[in-house]
This record gives sequence, C-alpha cells and structure tokens, in this order.
Amino acid sequence: MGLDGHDRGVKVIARALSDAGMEVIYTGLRQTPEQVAYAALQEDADVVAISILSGAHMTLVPDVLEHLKKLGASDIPVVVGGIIPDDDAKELKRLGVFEVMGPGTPLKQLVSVIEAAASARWKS
Amino acid sequence: MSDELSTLLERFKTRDTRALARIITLAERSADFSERLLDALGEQTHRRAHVIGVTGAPGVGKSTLIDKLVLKFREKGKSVGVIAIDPSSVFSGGAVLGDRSRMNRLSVDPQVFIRSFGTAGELGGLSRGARDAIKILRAFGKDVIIVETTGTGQNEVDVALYVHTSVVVTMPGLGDDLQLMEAGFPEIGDVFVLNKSDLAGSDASYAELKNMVQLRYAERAWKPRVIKTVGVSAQGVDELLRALEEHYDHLVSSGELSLRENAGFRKEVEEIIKERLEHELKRYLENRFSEQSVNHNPYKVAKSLLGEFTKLLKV
Repeated sequence: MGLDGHDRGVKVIARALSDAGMEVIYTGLRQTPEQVAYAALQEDADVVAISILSGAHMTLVPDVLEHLKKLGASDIPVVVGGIIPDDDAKELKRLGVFEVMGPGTPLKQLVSVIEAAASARWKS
Repeated sequence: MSDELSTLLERFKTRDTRALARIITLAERSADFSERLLDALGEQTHRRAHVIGVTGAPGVGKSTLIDKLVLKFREKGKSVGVIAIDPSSVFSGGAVLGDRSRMNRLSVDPQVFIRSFGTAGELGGLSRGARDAIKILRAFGKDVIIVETTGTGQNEVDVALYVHTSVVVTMPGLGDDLQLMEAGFPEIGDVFVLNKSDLAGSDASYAELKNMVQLRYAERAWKPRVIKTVGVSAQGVDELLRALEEHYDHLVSSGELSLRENAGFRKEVEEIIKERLEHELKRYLENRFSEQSVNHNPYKVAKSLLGEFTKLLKV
C-alpha cells in the first residue's frame, strides 16, 4: 500500500498461506487504503492481511479500518505485518487490528494467526 | 427459506454489495444453498446481460485488457461484473489470485464488482462457484459480466458454453502457424485479439491469425473479428468493444442467443449430476478401499465396486 515498493516478503507470505490451503487475493503494490477495503468487500474476504515496510503504518492502517467501516465491513479482521514499533502495535490493536506481527515471525505462526482471525469471523 | 438467506436477499434487492459478495461465497461453499438461492431469484438470473468470456495463455495480458475494456463499458454507462479465475493448487486447494492487482483502479467504482476464484480442482470449464456467480451477478442487475479464464488448449470449449461471446487473446510470437494448427486452435472464438501488438513481429502474427480464423470459421454464420490491441495503452480497445457489441447483436438477431443459453443449461445440469456422483463415489470408495487389497486386475475390481455403488444409488 502507499508508496511501499517492497513485495518480496508479501509474495513469500502469499505462497505460504496458499500452501496452507487458503485462497490469497494479491492486490499488488501501491494500493490505496480505499482500494484495499473495496477488494476485501467484493471478495468477501475472511481476513485482510497488510504488509507494510515503509513506516507509514500509522496513517495507512487506520485508513483501511476507516474505509472498511464506511463500507459496512468492519467485521473483517485486519492483520498487519512489518517493521512496527511496540507502541504503534499497541495503538493499532486498540484501533481494532486483530494482530500485529514483526519481522522474523515464523510462517507457521503467521498461518495460525490468519486462521484464528478467519475462524473468529465465521463464528460470529 | 432460511433466515440468513432471506435477510441477505432483502439487502441484495437494494443493491447491497456486501450482500452480493456474501451470497457468492455461500453459493460457492454449498450446492444446497445455491439450489435454494436460485429458487428465490427465479427469472432474475435471466436478466438481459452480455456475458463475455476472455481466455488465453498465461501472460498474454488478459487482465490488463479487461481493465481497459471495463473502463470503456463504464464510459457507456454500463455496470460491470468481473469474474477472474486463476489456477488453484491441486495439492493444498489454496491459490494466489493475482488478476485483481491489474484491475484495482476499477474496484473503487461502485458500479464495478470484481470477484476472484480459484479453479478449485476443475480442469476444464468453470467451477460451480464461478457458474453461479454469473447468475448471481445477472440477478443483481449487471449489464456486462466478464469471465476471465486461463486457457491453454481445449478447456475453453467448456467455458464457451456458459458465456455469450468468447474472446480469445494471444500475442505475437506465441507459436508459429504450425503450432496454431496442431495445438488445438480454439474453435470457439467469436472475437480474436492479438494483444501486445506493439511487439516486434506483430504484423506477421496478425496475418497468420487472420488466415487461421478465416480458414477455420469459413462455414460459420458469424465470422470472428480479429483485432490488434495494446492493453497497457488501451490501443484497439474501442474496436474490441465494437466487435463485442456486434457479436451480441448477431446473437440476438439470429436467435443464437437462446440456443446458446439452452446448450449452457443442459451442460450445467450434466455438470451438477457429475459433481454429485463424484462426491458420492469418493465417499463410497473411501470406505471400501480400506477393505480392498492390491489386486492384479483393476478392471475386475472396478466392475464389482461399480456394481455395488450403483445398487446403493438406487435405494
């Protein structure tokens, strides 16, 4: 999202999630928060996973949450991964982010976090 | 009718995108849901709409071309649904679906609805979920529905049964004419597109393609259009749009539209029966195979198991 030009990490993650049997809709680089929210809405996503390395997470992530809310889709859990300081992570979770994961999170753990987020939604 | 379905349908009628998206998901998950849904929607799934299939080998630029085409339809005030199908893994059932990333600008337009699908184990043709999505989008009131599939030979034949107009996309250098002859030149195209026609060798490729189409479709009432495009700059997309409209008009005036829809319906009934049988058979075999030891004659074993299975089906 935004001006972030990194997509290696997100592609590795997408592959890992797909290997775990999930359908991953890759929205591509340089998306606006609005585009991400619309994609989640139309795809009826179980989870929105955002990878951010640009440092702009405190603007972009709340923006995504805001757009999801506007579209009546705030029940879709949002998971964030990237280089995110602890204080920011706390604040993001307070704003409603399901989980924040830092670099070096094992893929296995990442898969189970996404699974937990998805199943929380299907139960509700 | 379940409460969930009736609440969703109320919202669906008010053009609620969230309800549309959810209904597509539930239909993909369960054939029983689809059956109840189609009962409730009735004639609405036959609303007037132009269903367009776009197929071609990976990398020829289908998604980018569709992106530009949808913009043209929007300029004409048409609402559009896009069903983008990418292969799923046969092993995990998972998939990375990337078509959408080439159409993202479109998706903030409330009149455009894009939905991604994995092939879900389907080798040719359309998965049940994708077939139902066409009907649901029609009932929702979309004027144009575009179905993008990756075709590498004959599997587009089955897709063609579920759409009104089939667009086959290729690009320069994707095989000389001998390959076109041998490797199953698509016999279902209504419009042929040579995309990336700014690449070297495009004139020769275009001439070849045109030749091939003239040869193969000489006896048909509709002579497929062959169009050069450059997806990234939208070159030739106006012409493509005109060809699509001409073909639709032809289908209506010749009466072929209802013939196609009838053929599609029959094929779909056949598919549903096959899918159910396959499901039952798998369940049956799972139990029986554990008792069956390896034998030198698979034909004999198959015959006896089939006999038992069909007896079970009758009760």
